[in-house]
Amino acid sequence: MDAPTDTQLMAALEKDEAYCVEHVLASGEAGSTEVVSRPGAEHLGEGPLVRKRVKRDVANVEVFSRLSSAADKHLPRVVETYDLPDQVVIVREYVYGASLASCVAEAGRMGETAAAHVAADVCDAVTTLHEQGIVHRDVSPRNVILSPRGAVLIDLGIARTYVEGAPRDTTRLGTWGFASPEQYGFAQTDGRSDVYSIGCLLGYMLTGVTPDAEGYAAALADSAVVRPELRRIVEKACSFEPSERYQSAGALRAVVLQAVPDAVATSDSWTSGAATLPNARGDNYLTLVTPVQLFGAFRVSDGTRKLGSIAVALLGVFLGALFVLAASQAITFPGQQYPVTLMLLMLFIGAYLALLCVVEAPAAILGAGKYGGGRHSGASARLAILGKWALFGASVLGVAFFALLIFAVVLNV
Amino acid sequence: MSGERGETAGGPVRLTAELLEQLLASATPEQYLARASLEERSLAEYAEAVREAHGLKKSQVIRASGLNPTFCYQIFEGTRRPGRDSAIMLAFGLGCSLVEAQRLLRLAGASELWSRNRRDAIIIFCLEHGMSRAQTDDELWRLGEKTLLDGEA
Repeated sequence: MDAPTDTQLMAALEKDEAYCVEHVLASGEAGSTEVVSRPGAEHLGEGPLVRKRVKRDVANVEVFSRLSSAADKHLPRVVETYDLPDQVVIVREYVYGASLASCVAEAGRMGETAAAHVAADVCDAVTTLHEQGIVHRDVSPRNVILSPRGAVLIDLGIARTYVEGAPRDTTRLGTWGFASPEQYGFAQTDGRSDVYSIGCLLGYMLTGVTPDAEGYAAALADSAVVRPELRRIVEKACSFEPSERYQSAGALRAVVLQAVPDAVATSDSWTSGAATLPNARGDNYLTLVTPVQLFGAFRVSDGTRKLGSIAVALLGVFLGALFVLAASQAITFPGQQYPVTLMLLMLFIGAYLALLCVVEAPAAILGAGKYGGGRHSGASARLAILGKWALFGASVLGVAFFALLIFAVVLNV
Repeated sequence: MSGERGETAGGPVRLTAELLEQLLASATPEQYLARASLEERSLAEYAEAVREAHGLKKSQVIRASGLNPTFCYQIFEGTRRPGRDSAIMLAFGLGCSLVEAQRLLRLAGASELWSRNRRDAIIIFCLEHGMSRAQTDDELWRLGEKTLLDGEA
């Protein structure tokens, strides 16, 4: 988003001036954060809002255009975003609750179940962002609010979009102790940088101490404080080398919930309650996975999954070719009773199998689109969705086949 | 001009006349400069102060002044400096009194309104009578002078 034109500026200014500032939370060189309200909106049941201004040279302006489409239970709802010549502005809901930082400061380290629950929620939030190509880059205790609906990840002021091939980030900020090494200039940040931060967050919750403090390593190593299995998870997520970490937030979430099964029950019941929220992803198996989602998931997956998906895709291409060949044979081979019907049948089956193997099965393996989102990272859940899709496709095929049959009998081709 | 007090929007701590006396009484320039506190606000700060004092919103000021929105916004930001006519248009947008307008012009690095100049005289008249920028331009046109809008300075 470039600086706005004159008419856009006037419109943005008017939007900006319509808000009534209740309280200034923070104000500095890079921007400000205020609690605002819209006069006249109270009757609509709207509560207080948070307006965050970020100076253009600090913010990543592309992020702001995508924030509205990143909707998740664990991200604050975005009311609107607009930009002014010197800054970009985002207005979002005010999330009620205490920050994770203040909770741990007050009550000390959290129990496993609670910590796992929070970590899983943050993984969900981060996954939604990654699907939009946004890397948060400041996942820290101050930016996690423990609200009635679960942990909510806030503060995307320094977030930036992932740019293929860029050698380094141009701005390096983040919370000391939670920011990944890449953020200090070693390489470009990507989804795995957020994974690093979530790992630090988990360690912080389990030990009650920030990773940069003196006693952190000792507390983490102490098996009376932190279960060795969880310590290993934290260490792997916080590996210096990005390729040694969990390659996606969804993977981290799965591992955490596996290690702390008690957290799963509460997680899932919350998830089912989210059916009422407007969630673009949803559990809809009737849709096809889009190429964008497929390639996005391909990029952030690890090696074995990539190979598996390519193998299945090639199988699909092969099967498709086979059926096209069969279809051509149906026409040319003499002595066939219903050549056209048979040909069409072959083509349909070929298309169905190709779609299944080239698009849907790789998507299931990689966790793209409807298979992903961290919620369905279990293999059985994904198989269930794939199965439902396959059955649906087969029934469509069956209907088409019968229609063809009737057509053929009537016209005798 | 001499003898002006701090303007309505909160002016300097010392009267400018006092400072002048001090300056004339000093033996060397350094003597004066060392003792006097010569803070002067930037144009952006002053414009913002006047805007708030008059209870106006930026969008209202931009509309009333007739200036290009981005340009006006940047004046408030301090990243661009208006020419003389633009500063006068801003003064109208802010609903300034004559004294405030003169200060604005001075801070913009332009010469103040001079009653001996025909065009300036018309502008001064309109300013003091609380006329809008548009009405002022009508008067200027009527009296055969260059209007503010269109005449970039």
